[in-house]
Amino acid sequence: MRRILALVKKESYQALRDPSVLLIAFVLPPALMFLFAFAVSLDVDNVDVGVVLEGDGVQAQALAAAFDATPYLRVSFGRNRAEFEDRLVSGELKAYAVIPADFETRLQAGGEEAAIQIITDASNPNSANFTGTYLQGVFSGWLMGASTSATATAERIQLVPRFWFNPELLSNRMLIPGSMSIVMTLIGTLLTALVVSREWERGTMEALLATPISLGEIIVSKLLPYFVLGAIAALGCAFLAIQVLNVPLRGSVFALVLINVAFMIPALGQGLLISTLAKNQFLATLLAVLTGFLPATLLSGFLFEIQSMPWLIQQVTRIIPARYYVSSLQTVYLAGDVWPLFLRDMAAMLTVGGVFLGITRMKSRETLD
Amino acid sequence: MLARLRASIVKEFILFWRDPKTRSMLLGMPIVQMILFGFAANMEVKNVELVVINEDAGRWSAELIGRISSAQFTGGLTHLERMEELTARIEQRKALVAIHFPADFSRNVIDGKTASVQVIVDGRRANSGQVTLSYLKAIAGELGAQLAADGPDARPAIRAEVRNWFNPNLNYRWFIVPGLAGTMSMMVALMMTSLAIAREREMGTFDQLLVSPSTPIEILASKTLPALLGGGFVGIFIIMAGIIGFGVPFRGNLLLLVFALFPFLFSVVGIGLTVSSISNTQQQAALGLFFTIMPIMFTSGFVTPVENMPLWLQYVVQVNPLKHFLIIVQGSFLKSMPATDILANIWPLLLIGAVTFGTAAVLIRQRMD
Repeated sequence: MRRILALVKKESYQALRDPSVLLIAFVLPPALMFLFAFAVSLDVDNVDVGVVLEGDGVQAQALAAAFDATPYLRVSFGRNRAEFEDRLVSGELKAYAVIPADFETRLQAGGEEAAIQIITDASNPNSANFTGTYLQGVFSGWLMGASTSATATAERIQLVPRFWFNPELLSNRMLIPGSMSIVMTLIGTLLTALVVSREWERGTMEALLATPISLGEIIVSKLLPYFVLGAIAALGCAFLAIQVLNVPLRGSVFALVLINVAFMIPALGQGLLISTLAKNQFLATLLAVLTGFLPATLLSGFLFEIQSMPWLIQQVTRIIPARYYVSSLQTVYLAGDVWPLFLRDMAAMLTVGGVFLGITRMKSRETLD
Repeated sequence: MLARLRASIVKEFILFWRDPKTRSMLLGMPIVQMILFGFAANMEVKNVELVVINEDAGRWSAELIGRISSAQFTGGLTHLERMEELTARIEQRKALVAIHFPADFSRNVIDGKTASVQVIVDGRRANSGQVTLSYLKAIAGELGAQLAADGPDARPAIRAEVRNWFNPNLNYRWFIVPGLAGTMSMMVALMMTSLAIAREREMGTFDQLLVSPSTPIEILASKTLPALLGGGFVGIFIIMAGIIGFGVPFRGNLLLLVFALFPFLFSVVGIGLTVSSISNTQQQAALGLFFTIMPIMFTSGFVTPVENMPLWLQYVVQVNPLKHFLIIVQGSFLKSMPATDILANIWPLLLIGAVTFGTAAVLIRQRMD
């Protein structure tokens, strides 16, 4: 026990002495959270769109005014399509609507020919989809409201949507909990991988192994300081999210702590495993990026829906601890305590962590022979 | 002097090539990432799990359910009896969307009134939820239009036509794969620059280099050229793989794009040099890299559009080289962007590169004294 304590002390000093560790543990988390709060947003806002007004009819003018009055759009008006086409190519505009010269007659006739045309820049398909739908919505809203009852027929089937847990549909409500998985993966996996692989690279690991200290003790003493660092970072993230970024915490603090602890085990285990496989810092960094950071960003389901991925990749996501972490975190923040979900996710994280630690143990023994 | 320069560049290449693990990682990483991103990064919505509570015994709810369950985006549709079951399914993330038909749904349809359906969406997955909702609205709208056409006051509906230019089927892969040419070549170039100098410094061989006959400029060149070439190789490889392997249409000027890749990598290498000039160890360089890669990636428009950011941030992001290159590469692939638009994005790259190289040179010289 005394041996472990002494080792832990040594590791902690070593960790805290290096400014880069402090940078990752204390500066990166808030920086990343702010990034996800402000820079990464799926909410379409202030979109630059054009409106081509080919005629001067009263109705056409009224529709143009309706586009102009929409809060989420920045509208510029024009007379001919060609000019707007170029601006669509250069990326100045994300979409434009064409109100044709014979708009009034088309409104009367209805049917066959579309009354207006909406052209989107689909080089970004997701925002094109939202912008297109949104402009269509503005148009049908205008049809319902401003035009006479003769031209509009009420919707026969109306969907009344309710977004649970996130009624304002703020994308950063879900992205901020998701971004924590990146922070914790970096602290848990990248930092441990770097620290332990440095010992291997310099040959001090062999020296440590030659001492009476057992392998288990070495592992524990290496992991403990980073476990504590991770815990502090998680607390900091939670505080920032709730107090500054207005993410609600609808579940209990107890559940939040438990989820974070459960995630630290596979994260640290993965870092340790990488360092025993790589044994040099450059390679360890690459491996940590490839197996830790990227999956936490891409395959954890907070940016890209797992269900939409091809079957094979869906199966790969099952061994990625961040997937379970994101699922539980989003739930504990936005939905509340859903214990069946938490228990399932935590069991998965612990299983993956156990496998990582088991392989590490096997591999470290082999290298001694 | 040229012979000396060549020798030290060859040495750098050998250093990266010597270790089989490093070699396979440097080559394998872009390939694995391309596959991961190409297939996993997708904001289209597929395989959606739906649950339905149907209190209506009539024909029209069954008709609508039938249409929804045979739609392409639907993965599974489960009928439930009680509201508690529905809540549990949504809370535990077993369903993304729940549809609740009231008892009078079919009667309202038959009476020609507006028939409402409640749609409950999991707000933890707001993006996919919104996309699914727009699909559902389209289905309901279609059925509604058919009902209206059969009704007594039949008149064809007035509609707006949406055309998605450059990517008519909103294929997300067409968006993400060209972007990868930028992000991946950036990551490789950054890692190769910043870790190369940091390793020499950590091992103490940087001082040896400084006292060798090589001039500081030669040293910098020998450290940056391999990164420039490595990044360039990865970039061109991904562009080719995008065209041939992923079938993304290429409508622009290939030569111009490849030409633009190098000002971009020049600015990136400048950033890598700056990071490595302030770090003493590989660990510091690796962590410093992360600190720079993340904001660059997440504010570039690679994941979410720049236009969604607050306006002040959009100005700040002008200093992000990846943002400019993404406009070039995505524009070249899909939009056949004219040379003037491309040049408008090249000069910021050169400016950024000049500033970062200058900073790095000053910092390195300071260190030498």
